[in-house]
Amino acid sequence: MTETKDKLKEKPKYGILSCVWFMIKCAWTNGEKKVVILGLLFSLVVTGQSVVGLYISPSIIAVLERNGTVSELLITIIGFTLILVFLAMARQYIDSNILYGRITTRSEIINLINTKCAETSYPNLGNEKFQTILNKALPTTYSNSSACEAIWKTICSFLSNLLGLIIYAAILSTANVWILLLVTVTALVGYFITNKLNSYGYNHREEEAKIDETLSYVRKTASETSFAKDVRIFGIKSWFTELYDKQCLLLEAFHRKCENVYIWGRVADLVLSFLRNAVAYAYFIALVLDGSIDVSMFILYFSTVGGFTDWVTGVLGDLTTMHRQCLELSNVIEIINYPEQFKFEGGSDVPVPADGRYEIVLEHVWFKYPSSDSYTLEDINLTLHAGEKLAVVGLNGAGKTTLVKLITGMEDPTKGRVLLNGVDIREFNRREYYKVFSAVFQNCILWAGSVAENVAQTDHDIDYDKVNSCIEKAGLTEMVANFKDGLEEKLNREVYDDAVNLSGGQTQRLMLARALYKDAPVIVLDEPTAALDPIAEADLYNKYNDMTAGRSSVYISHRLASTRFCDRIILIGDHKILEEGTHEQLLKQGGKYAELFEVQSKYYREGDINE
Amino acid sequence: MYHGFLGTEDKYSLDVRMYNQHKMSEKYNCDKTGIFLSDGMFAHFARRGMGAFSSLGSRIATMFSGLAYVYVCLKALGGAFGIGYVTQYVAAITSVSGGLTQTLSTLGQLKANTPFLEMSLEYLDISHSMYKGSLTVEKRLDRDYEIEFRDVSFKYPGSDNYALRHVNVKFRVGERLAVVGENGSGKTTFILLLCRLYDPTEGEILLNGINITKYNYREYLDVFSVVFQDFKLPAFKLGEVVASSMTYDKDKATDCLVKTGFGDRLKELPSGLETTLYTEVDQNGVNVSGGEAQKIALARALYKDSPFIVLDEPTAALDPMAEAEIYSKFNDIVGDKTAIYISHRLSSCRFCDEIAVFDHGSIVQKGSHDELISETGKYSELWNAQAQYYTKEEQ
Amino acid sequence: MSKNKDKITYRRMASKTIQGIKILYKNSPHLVISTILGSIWTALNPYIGIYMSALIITELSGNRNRDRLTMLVLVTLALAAAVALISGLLNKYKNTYGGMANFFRGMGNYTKKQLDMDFADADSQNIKDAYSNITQNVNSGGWGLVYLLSWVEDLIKGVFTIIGGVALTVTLFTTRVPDGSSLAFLNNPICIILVVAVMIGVTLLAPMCSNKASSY
Repeated sequence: MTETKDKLKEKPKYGILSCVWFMIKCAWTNGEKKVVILGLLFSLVVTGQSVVGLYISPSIIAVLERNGTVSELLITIIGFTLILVFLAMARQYIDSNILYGRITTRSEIINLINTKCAETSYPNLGNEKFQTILNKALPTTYSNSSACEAIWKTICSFLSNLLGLIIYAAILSTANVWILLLVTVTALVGYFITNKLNSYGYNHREEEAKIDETLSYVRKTASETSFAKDVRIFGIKSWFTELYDKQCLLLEAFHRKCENVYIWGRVADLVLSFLRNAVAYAYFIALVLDGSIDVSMFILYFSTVGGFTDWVTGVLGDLTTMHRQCLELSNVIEIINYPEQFKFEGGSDVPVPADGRYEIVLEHVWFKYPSSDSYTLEDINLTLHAGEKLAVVGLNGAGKTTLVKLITGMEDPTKGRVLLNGVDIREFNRREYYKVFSAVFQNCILWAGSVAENVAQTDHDIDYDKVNSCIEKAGLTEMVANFKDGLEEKLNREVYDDAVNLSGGQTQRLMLARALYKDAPVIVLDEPTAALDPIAEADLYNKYNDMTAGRSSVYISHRLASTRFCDRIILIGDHKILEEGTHEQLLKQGGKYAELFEVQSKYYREGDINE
Repeated sequence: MYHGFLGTEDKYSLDVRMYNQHKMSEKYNCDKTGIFLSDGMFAHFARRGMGAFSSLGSRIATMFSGLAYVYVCLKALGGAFGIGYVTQYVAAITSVSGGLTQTLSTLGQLKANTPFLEMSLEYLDISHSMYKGSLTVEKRLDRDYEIEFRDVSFKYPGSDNYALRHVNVKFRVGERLAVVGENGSGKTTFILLLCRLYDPTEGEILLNGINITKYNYREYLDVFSVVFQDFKLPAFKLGEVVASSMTYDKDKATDCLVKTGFGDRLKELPSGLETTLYTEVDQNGVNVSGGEAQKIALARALYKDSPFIVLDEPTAALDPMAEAEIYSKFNDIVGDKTAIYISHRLSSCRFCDEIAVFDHGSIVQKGSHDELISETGKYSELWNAQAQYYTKEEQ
Repeated sequence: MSKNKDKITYRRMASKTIQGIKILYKNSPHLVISTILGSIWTALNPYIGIYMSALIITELSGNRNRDRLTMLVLVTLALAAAVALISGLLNKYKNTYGGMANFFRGMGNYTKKQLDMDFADADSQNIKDAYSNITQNVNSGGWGLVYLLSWVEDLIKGVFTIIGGVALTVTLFTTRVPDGSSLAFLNNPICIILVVAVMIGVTLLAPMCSNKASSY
């Protein structure tokens, strides 16, 4: 519990003023100046409406008290009505128009965060602090009521409450400063008591968050189609239904606890109101009885007393809300400004070697993930020669993918260096360095665009001849020919309703075509045939052979069958490179590689399998 | 919002950097003509007609109040009642005016909501067609179940192509059947029909001679334990996941986990069966690797203890050692149940009694490994495609 | 599952809304009852204040009897406190069962349906799209089933506000201007009917405008 309290006392990196300034700048520089201007106008209009509303009754009553003429009466009433009508019109109009500007600003923020995540140094994504801040920042952008949009409402409300407060205070001070003081004090006391009590829910929000997460998880999982099969086979419906209902009851129990605390706030409010109104009644009635003010002034003052309390509560409430919203927004600003450990624009360009030969060297490379205590890779020394086909094998979790991340510059070594043609890659603009590689990773995105866009990874300046030749080399010509729109057929059903679904094999080949189009000097292939059937797999191995001719390539697999087309094979185990050589050499060595090969090939040989 | 959140999706981060994909996303995100954005449809309407009419509506409510005030005050001026009553009437009329506006606007909202509400109610009313059968499935201790596919053909709803064509097959008790074939040849569809997740378009499937649609659906489903290729383990307690329920038999669960090779890992877990899997729901959960998840999924299938067990590519995510372990334990895992084993790794066919080869939706070959390898056909084609890498060095 | 494009009649709206409320009632009877009672109470209780303050002002502008004034003030304050307490209690119930609990129970209906439906339906693209539409509608404007109760609450509040206000305004029309005054014409029934007719006419114009607005 103390841990939670400490977390709450943590000062956010950016305070209220910085956050508000950030939002204003965001809106202003994105062509949404109207968000700021209309917002200011809105506050004025709202306060104006209250003040006018305050004076209507007293003014009319005043006319009646004096037994004024009919025309006097009509002028007063019509006058006020017109003013109110005008203000209401203005308010409605502003309301309708400001919403969209606010939504656009929020979209802009989503874009900023997204760009940051996509471009940031890869290790940041694995960084716990980065992820925590990101996870706190993202929810602020999800909806109209999240901080990135709701803050505007709070700012406008604050301004109008402040203005109203000043005006009403001025009015009350013409009556009696002590009354003003009394009302202020009771309002403040009431506010602080209720606030303290109302923060009960916020202080215990972790409890609620846990229930929320469980419920959201059940909702999300139940809507997944792939899980639907398991649900029916294993009768998961009754488990999840029971779980869901139980969690709902827990949620209600939590809120019940909170409400039992909050009700005391209302009691406090009630008592303070009683006192305040009793004094106000007594004072102002006395004034009326001894003739100092007439009844219409009584009405005015009494309404002001009531209204003033609302303004005070409003100002304080808005400050609290702003504080909370800025706590959340501070995460957004922090993420966008998160420091980068790789060099991007500040780094140098990658020099293109005259002979087109790229050599990558790992020199005494040690690597451990920040969250781990032990090294994943220890003292790796490896040279990927120009034009060499290197295979990397090893058991799951041995560090093969980590090795690839080091070679492609996604991660930097903890100790040691990675050199491209003799230069430490940390010097380079990392994005330029990525251009040296064409990769087929395990998780590939099927971009929500056409086939051609996916292959070329852009939506303009597509070299269609090149696309076609890559498609042919990947063996997809027939598939594309069968598409209604050919190369323009849309993929990815998340965005396009009429997109076509590709099978595992087709997707893999498309990834191949994409890598071919990029035409980079070094090719990296990471376990790309896991989902394929034997014939497709054999076919793909042949294609890799063709594709990697003349280039440096790194091929990771634990299907030892596939490594035969490579010049050199390295086996990773126990955090090191255990064995190195050609397929034949390693078999002769009779070490771990030979052992793995024996295990895999056992069933493919003729004879009794129970040998 | 697909484009909005692309950069934050964990598993695509490598790809995004390699191919600079977020640049394409930016174009979508910055485009202000989206329906809710400031250059979009609603905004245009708001600036013109919609906004104007909205404000006209509230103008009228205020005029109504004004009119009422006039009437009240004239009467008061005429001496009908005192100013006390004036305040009462004025306040009451203002209130009524506000109430009227609110009532009318809420009615408008409710009206606008009706189509959305209808959509929701329609969704909640989706009917079952699978639950019409009522026969109980005999629980046979001797596990003497026989399933037969009679001339079954199947098309996915909305598709023009047949995924399965004229499939005829019978399962014997305790038989181990391997199902092989290229991707898209109909293997998984076959399983979906077998478990009755879909009903055949033509032909029928029989259990002990009776069409399966006549059986009670839940009871029929209980005949099968399946580990699908895209199985999922929910992020809850290990014991609950294995048992697929909130309450579970500890001994049985442990036993199943040990059988599938998860025993050692289980001992390492500090909370044992009470450990939460993954960190999605509980931050203190344990992340299991792909191979470990496979073992848990197998244990889940075992826990259900059905007479039929179906395994769809169970070793795809495992490395050679783990795969070999599963193969060796296959006998233990399957026991005396009827097993259907789908795999790309034809090596696994060696320990099944019979093999069914699928091609373009039909079973083209059926027999034991020795029988099929000597025929020229799809099976030998597939076998040689894989074995070539492992047997070359013998020459 | 696309929207029915036929004209939406009040009858259709009423029957679907009632159907929806029945489902919400099954989910959480506490919420529905406390919300409805709460809305009636919130609508009617301001009139207590209005009535009492009218009495005080009448006294202030009339007899100015100290004792009666004191009594009126004390009664007003006591009533205000009682009102606050009752409102607080009703709110307590509403907040316990409302908010996130309501959201999850509401969305839970769909989740349970998903777990229950035939696999062929769960796998169907149409049904998946329908669900994502429903979720989007809920998130983008509270449309659909989940937040239905808040509109019904507003409706009941509006209706009872009108009822309460009308109750306090009845005497406006029945008290007569003393015959000697120049404004005695106001007593004429025709005048009364005219005023009421104009009021109603003006009132009906307002929704026509807002309907035009939302038909955009």
